[in-house]
Amino acid sequence: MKRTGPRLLTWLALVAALVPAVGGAPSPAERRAALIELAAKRPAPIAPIAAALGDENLVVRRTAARLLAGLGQPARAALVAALGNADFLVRRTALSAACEPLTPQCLPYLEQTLKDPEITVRLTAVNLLLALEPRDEAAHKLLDQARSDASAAVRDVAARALWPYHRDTVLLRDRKDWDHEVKVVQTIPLAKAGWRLHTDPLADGHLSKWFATELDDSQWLPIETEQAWEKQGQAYDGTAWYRTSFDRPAKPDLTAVEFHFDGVDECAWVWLNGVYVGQHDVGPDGWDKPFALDITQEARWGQPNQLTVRVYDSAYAGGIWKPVRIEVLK
Amino acid sequence: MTTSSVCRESVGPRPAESGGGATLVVARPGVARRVGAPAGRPQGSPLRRTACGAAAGLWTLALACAAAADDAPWRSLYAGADATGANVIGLWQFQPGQEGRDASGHGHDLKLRGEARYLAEGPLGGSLESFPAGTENDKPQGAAVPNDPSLSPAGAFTLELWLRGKPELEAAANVFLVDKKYYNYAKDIPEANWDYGLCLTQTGAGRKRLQAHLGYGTDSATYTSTDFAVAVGEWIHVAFTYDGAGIGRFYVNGQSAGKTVQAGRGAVTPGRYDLVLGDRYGSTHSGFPGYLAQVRLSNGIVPTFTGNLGVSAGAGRTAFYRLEKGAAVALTVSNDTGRALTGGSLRVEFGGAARTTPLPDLQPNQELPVPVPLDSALRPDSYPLKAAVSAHSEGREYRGEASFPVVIVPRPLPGRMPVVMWGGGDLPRLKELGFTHDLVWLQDYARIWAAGKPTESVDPGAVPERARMLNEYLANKMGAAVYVYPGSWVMGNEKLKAQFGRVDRAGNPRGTDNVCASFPEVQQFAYNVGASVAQTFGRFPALQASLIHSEVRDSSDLCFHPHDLEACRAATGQSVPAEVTGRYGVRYTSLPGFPTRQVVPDDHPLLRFYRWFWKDGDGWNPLHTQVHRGLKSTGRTDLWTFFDPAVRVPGVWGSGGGVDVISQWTYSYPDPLKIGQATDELFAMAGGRPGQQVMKMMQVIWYRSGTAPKLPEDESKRAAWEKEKPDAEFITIAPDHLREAFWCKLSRPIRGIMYHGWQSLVDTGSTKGYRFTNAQTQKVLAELTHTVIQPLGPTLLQVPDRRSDVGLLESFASQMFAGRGTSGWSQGWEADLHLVLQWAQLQPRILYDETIQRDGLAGFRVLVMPFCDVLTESVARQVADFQRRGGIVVADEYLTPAITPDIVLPSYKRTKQARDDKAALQALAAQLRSELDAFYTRYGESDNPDVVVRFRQYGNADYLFAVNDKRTFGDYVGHHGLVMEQGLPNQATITIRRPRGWAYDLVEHHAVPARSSGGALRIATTFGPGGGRLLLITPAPIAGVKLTVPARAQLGKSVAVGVAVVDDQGKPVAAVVPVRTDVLDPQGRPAEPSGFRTATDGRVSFTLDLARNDLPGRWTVRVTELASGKARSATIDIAR
Repeated sequence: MKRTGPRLLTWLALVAALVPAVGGAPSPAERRAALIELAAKRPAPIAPIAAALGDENLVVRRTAARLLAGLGQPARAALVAALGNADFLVRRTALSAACEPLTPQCLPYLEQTLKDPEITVRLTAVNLLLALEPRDEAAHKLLDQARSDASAAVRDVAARALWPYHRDTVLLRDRKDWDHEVKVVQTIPLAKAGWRLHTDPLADGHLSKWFATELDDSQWLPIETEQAWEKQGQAYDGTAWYRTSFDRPAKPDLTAVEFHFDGVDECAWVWLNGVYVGQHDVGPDGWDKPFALDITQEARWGQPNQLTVRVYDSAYAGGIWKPVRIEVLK
Repeated sequence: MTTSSVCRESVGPRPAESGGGATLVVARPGVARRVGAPAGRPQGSPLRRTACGAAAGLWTLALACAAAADDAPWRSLYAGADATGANVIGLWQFQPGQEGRDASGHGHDLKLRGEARYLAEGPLGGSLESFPAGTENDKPQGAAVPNDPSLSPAGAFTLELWLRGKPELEAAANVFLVDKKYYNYAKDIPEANWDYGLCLTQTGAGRKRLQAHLGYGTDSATYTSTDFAVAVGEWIHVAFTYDGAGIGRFYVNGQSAGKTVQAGRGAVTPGRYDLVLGDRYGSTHSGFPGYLAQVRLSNGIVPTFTGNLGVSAGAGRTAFYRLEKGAAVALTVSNDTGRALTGGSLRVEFGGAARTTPLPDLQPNQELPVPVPLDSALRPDSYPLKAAVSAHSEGREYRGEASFPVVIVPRPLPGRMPVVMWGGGDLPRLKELGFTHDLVWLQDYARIWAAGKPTESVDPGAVPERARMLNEYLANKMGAAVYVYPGSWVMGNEKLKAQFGRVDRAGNPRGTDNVCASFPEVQQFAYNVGASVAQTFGRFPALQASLIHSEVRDSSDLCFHPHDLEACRAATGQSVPAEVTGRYGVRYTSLPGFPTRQVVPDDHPLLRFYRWFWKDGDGWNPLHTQVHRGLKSTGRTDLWTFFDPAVRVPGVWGSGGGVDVISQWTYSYPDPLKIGQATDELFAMAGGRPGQQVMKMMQVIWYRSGTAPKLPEDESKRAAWEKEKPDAEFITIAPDHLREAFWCKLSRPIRGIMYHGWQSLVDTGSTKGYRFTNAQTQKVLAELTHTVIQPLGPTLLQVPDRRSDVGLLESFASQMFAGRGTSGWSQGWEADLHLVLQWAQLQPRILYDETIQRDGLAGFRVLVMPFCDVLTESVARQVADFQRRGGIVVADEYLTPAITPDIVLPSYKRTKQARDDKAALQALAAQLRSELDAFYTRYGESDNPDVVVRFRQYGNADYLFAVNDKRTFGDYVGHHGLVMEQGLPNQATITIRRPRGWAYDLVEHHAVPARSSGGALRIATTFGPGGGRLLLITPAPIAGVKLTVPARAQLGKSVAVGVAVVDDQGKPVAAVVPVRTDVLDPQGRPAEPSGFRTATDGRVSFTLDLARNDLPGRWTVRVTELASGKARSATIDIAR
């Protein structure tokens, strides 16, 4: 960062003129007060405020960036230039201001700042990218790049943005068109043993179809449900996949079939026999919330079934830590 | 209380008074000879019926007659019809050779349990020795008879026995003498409500009370005796008679010892438990440490133990404030003679005066209340009250007497700061440690629920014991805080739980123990509980406070009853949003279309819902208000209610509902300064309810897991307590932590302090749970209460906080949309940043969204915003305006992009290495100072980051608190690396940016040098480990004390005393100054107005109300101001 360029000297001279003579150079507080005073003028002089983006004091620099952002279009050029400022907060403020309004024309700024050394700036950029509409191919490409970011926080945003699976489930009990009594005629608990686990720190296992029925998971780590993976030696926060297979008897007389998960810490996405059947995605608070998914169409009877559960855990214990069962409803 | 009742014809001895106290001393020469007499053969007289007795073998309620006579049947070994008569159910005499045999001949033979054994010694021969279970004999004790239907009396019955206590009985709160009931407390299950049990409960040093617990199938009732002396090693005889219709009477050594009437009761319900002598049927914690002899259970009332004419004050007040208006003892005259009495009178002697009151005719079984006004103007002391009742029937005179002490206590001085033991303790040690209150229980929820309206809050049989306790509290100048938790009780009742538990969206029970507090029935019950306690015990001034529920909101949850849904619609104008699945909000990352700048409208549907839910929707705050209303329903406006932990909820106003005080408990580890964060959160919460006060509780216990989790394998590296109590789960807080946390919380304008963990504070012999592992801690606490709280408390209660210009936002929007918030645990980054601010010599004030929305940010110069991912539009606007005005925003990397912070402090995640974590956070404090100080000048600071300063202010007087946080790893838990528990000495120079002032140490009571230069004062200070300083800075020097008293006065008159603490100009100093007043009579005894007061604006005045029984002569009034230590004395000549 250049702190003694001609614009800065101009800025300091201006401040010296604004600040009552107290002897010596104006203090940072005086310089900041002078900036605020300048920004309150109409029209506000852009150049001296922009010059303060190079002030030696970080608070003064950030004040300048904030004030410029508040001045709107006239200050846009100065803010775009500030995307290369040495102060990451100045850069972040500049990015937010430069992307106001958020249009495809902002993509160059986003592309630039997605390479910023500072996570905060990249996170702001990826969040802006997430909000950009329409999301054209260029934006899609940037998001795809962001999925490989060094920061898990950035990766998570990108991965979530690109996550293609969603299915709304309406359980039989909740169907407004179903006014018959619903009875559980059979409960089939899934064994807690016989599961396999694979961590997915880049959250891209779905691209490799880790939910596919035919996937060879024999090299995955054996694991049990009904207790967190940490308790089984996996000190890990992030995305991981569970897989298991189970046999079902001949098809009973039924109206509907449901998976019941008593607790997955903390989010879950579920495939049965390679078909996506739904999710439990309410954030960290979902860690102890039971949920159910309808699998009437996907369940196979009298033959093997393959179940895949993608789990995301942001902190503390994680995994399928409570029982899973199938309920047959009539 | 001593009571007795005899009929004139009897020749038995009368009760004798002992020193005006309440000791029952019965002359029993015959027994005296028998006690300790050689065992092995029956002693004393054979069975003799008195002249008043009924036909042999047919015991009926006969004429009252003397029972304590030398020849009373119970003084002898029962034989003949007394042993084997038709009415005898069982008789156990423990005679050598036939120790366990049922001498009644009914075959109810005993079998010993545990270490219990038969001895050949006893008042009449053999005896049964029993034990309380301990660590080495943790098994049932005593002796048991197998259950048999005949052991459950079908109507009236009599239970009698001899007992002799061992020294351990002194400390036993409650022991079972006989038990066939198992439960001696209310429990709503059939098996808790069968048969009978007789207990001996502690009432005071060397004093006990009998309690009979009778089961009636669906509930139980307690019958209580008056209390009486139980001397260790001395045999006494006790008896309980039950008339089969709700009247239970007690006799001690043949003398009437009170009765309880339970209207509408019948015979006990037969049960299934064995009959146990000397212990409880089940459990192993209430065995009788002593000896039993000649235990007899009989059908019907044994004539020896039939009624008399009595007078008592069983459930009334016996302790009064001096000059209390309407002071009166509520005596009850009981006609248990079985016949109508006429021509009666009651004579009462008290305080040197006597008064006789004629009585109306007394019907059989009549209870006649007789209020006896007291002269409460007597000087504070304990005075005997003697009551004698007499009446006639058919030419015979019946008489009864009672004598008990009545205590007049000094009126409380204004402004005593409460020091509450959150839990129970014993009064002597509580007082010694400086506690002013502890928790008590005064309610039987089942009974109040069944009544459906305010009623007597406990079983009538339990009222006298509670009354005695409350009298004792007042006599000891202690306050009782009743702990009421009606909402929690509902969920402890299986039937009610099913009906009133919370349900999910589908209507399924949540399966938690958190009641749906919004049920109208539960709300009404909450009011009824409060009102019942007030009606029953509100007349006792020792009942001074109430803890309303505790920890209930931790497990609160969404609920979807129709009334919940309707309330939501009514309050928010919407249904429960579909996205709502949990009580702690919805992550914005899971909300499609969430604003990129992470700023939401103030009326965002989710915010609207959650604001309502946490304020009113979960029902708890309104429920607390109901209990509060009930407790105040009898006009006890002085009784203060409190709720805790009040900030274990998101940051939205309303926690605790309408309670007077909110509190919060905090564990001091790893950094005791964190208590300041929790305290500041309480002030943020209370800010939403004008008038609500804040107290602060510190846990005396430490979780082992958080301080010293694993026992060092190398035994030589274990702390002393680890060697002694390796299995301790909870240990005692380190003394330096307690001291430092004390100073930290006291630097805030709190109204009282609390502690929890009695068994870790004092040695109670606890072997499980809370353990006593550090003997120094209680000494530190006692020192602080006696040298700080007691002398300075009244002053501190008058000193407001210094308004801070540094705010710390705990954003409700971020809590609901980003899962943020401390939930009152003082952990996590938000709490750590608060620590950083303290170490940076700032004085943060915690703000909620609502604070900013209501008050704006005017007056603040720095706003700190940890974890503020999401803001509401109004808060974001206020912050932007604040910055526009020049305010500095300090934030972390999570701040909403809508705000550009001026300074960024990256969040820090602890490593659990205490030294490293403190160093890292103090480094952040240093960084903050380096970036902030060019823009912000503190009012005061220390030059040592380990000395944290904080200011309170009254006018132009500063109250500077400085806390020493210099610590290292000690040898208590330090070897585990989790906590630096050992304080170190320290020193600092404190700068206060006021041009002039005079400094005084309020704890040590002397002036402190203060150097003035450059427009600031500088004070050099030193600190002990964990120590604090409290300095008063006044605008003018304190020059002396002026004292105004009259030269002469008369006993019985009032004397006005005026005090002024003056400056060098002779003017009262413009400050709140603590003063000590000593008013001494001619013998040097302190009189009522002695104690600690506050000179507000340098002045204080009070009245010396001389009692008619005060001493005439030369009195001395001495006043000492506790800032510089200057004193002034004057004398008053008091004439009769």
